[in-house]
Amino acid sequence: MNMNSELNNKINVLHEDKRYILHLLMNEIEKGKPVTVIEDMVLDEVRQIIKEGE
Amino acid sequence: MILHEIELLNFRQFYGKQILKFAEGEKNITIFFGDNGKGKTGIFRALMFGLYGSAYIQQDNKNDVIHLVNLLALQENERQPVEAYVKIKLSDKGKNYEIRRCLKGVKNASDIVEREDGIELYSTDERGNFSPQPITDKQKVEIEINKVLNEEIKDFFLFDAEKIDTLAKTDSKVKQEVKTAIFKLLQIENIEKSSDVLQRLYSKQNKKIVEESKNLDIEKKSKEIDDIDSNLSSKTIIQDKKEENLRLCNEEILDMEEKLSKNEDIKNLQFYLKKEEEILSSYEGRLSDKKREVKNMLVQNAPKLLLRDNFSIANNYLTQSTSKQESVVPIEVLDLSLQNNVCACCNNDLSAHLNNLNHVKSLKENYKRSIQGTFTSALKNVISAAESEYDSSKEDIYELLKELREIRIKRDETKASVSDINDKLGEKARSQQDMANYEMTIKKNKEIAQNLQTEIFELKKEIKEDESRKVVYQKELERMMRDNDSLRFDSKVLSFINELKQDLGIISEEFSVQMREKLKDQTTEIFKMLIDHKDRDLVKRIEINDKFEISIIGWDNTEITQDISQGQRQIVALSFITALAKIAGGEERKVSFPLFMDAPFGRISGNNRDHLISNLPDLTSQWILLLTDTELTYQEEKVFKTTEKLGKWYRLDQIQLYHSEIVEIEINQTMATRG
Repeated sequence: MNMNSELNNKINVLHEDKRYILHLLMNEIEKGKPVTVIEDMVLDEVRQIIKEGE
Repeated sequence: MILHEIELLNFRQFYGKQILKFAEGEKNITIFFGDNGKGKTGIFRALMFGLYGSAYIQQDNKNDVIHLVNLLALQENERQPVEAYVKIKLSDKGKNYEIRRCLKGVKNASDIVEREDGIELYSTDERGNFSPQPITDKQKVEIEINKVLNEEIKDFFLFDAEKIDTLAKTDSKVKQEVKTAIFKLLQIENIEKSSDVLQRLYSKQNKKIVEESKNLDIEKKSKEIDDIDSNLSSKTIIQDKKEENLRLCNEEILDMEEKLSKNEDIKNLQFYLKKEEEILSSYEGRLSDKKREVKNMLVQNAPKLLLRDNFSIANNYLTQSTSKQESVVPIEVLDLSLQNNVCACCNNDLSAHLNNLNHVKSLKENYKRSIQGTFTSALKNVISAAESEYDSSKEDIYELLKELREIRIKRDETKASVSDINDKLGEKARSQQDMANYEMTIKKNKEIAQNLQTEIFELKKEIKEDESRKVVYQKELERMMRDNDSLRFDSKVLSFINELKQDLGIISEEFSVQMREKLKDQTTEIFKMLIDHKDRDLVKRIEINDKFEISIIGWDNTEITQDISQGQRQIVALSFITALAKIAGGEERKVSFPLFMDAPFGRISGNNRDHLISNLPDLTSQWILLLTDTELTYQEEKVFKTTEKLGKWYRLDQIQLYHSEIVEIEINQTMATRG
């Protein structure tokens, strides 16, 4: 996805984990995937991040 | 996005196959020149059909049937299927595309039947190689093309004269279109969708954790948050509705005010009538007062006026009678004469002259002492006094009557003027009625708008309070979940999603403000570049509010969106489109979309056209124009050539009915036919 550079700059100041989830989220939306699929995908990734953090 | 080429086969006025190449690079202007009906809009339609499959464009009546297959080809092949297509070659972000959309048409007697006959989209891969197999699925093609130029915002770059007119308007539909374009091009839409996904995910996770917790305190807290949420949701809906009503109300006020200002004649007449009616009413009042004054004076002086002639008769009579009385010998003389028998007047011996004696006796006998003498004298004094009083009041009465007459004349003149204005207004009676209605509606709507503003303010305050309460409750809930060992992991997941949601909210807000500021500055800068010098100071700046609505601010800081001309507003629209596309393109100097305009100069004055022609090519990657002879006169041609940006120059020639040919002309040749 060709993200607007200024939007990208704003996202880039976030923590790496959050940055990763937001990029994933916006990319999947751009691809036009169904919302429920995106939700599951994001939830899995968040759970993975928390698990790794423990 | 760059348009390279368009190929037409039996499409609209274009019989057989015709290929057009678009100017690109440094010389980026392409002009198609032709009279009405020669096929200019056919080229625009071909582009719309080729990219999006739509037979209709903005200016069409959707109830009319539009035939896309060439009528001459259909006539020549009656009852036989005729093939037609539009093939477009374009590139975007380093990728090349070739799209071909086909049609088939059959003519049976007077009936023409058309149907789409397939679509093919070839595109290059990362290494620049064309895919061997085209995409033929309509929906997949749509997704691919929308990635290049989304259909919802295509009208901002590929527009006909109708569209530029629409964009220059300020109604709610246009505002919504503008907002959609900004959201799509600046990716605010994706941020909002992402926020929605996170919100849904948060709610679902929260619900799941609460259900699994079997903890009454957690359930209670969660229920309290849900209640606030539902409350917030209803309040937000009400607020949205009220804001929508307020917007409609303000729109109606503007609309009515515009109608009223258009009918300036009637308004002036009504103003004049009102003034004249006030003057008439003042004259009527003064006339009535004066009449009363005259009446009082007449009542007071009427006897004198009525008796004016009798004064002189009576006076004459009294004078006469007094003079008769004076001719009689006084009684004392008669008595003395009779007593002495000698006439006291002439010493005549009366005893010697019996006749004289008898005469004196007779005089005495006939003598009547004038008992009226004193009365007559008094009466004469009264008459004399009344006469002199009449003389003095006569002047006053004359003066009063003169004033009365003057007021009456002025009253009659004003009455005639009122009647004259009413006659004129009578001719426009309907408009007058409408105006009265408009004024009433404006007054009513202003009251409604004021009430709505107060209600919205109160609602916003309540919503803010509820939101603060919700944040506190959520923190409490998260703490309660963290304290519960079995929920610790899920509560961490929930917290992460919540934090992400909040971060995205802040990013969205900041980005939105930043983009709006950039858009405002760019639009103002481009407007000042495109507008004629003399109008440059008319507009101080172009504002874009938090709802992404455009307003134009004049040199004295007042809003003049409704006050500038349609042509000037079109330049604002163009400036906005250009600014939007430039910002969407990131750091690129030029707009990364072609500007395709069908008959755009209709409402734009000569100087403004010259400015547009001189400056727009520097702002966009491609400028494709479909122009008539009144839009491309010798003057415009001169300016186009001076820019040295003219790359392609086509003339549309009509060979026969339903057969137009696109002829490429050498750049140094003359195209214009009018001065």
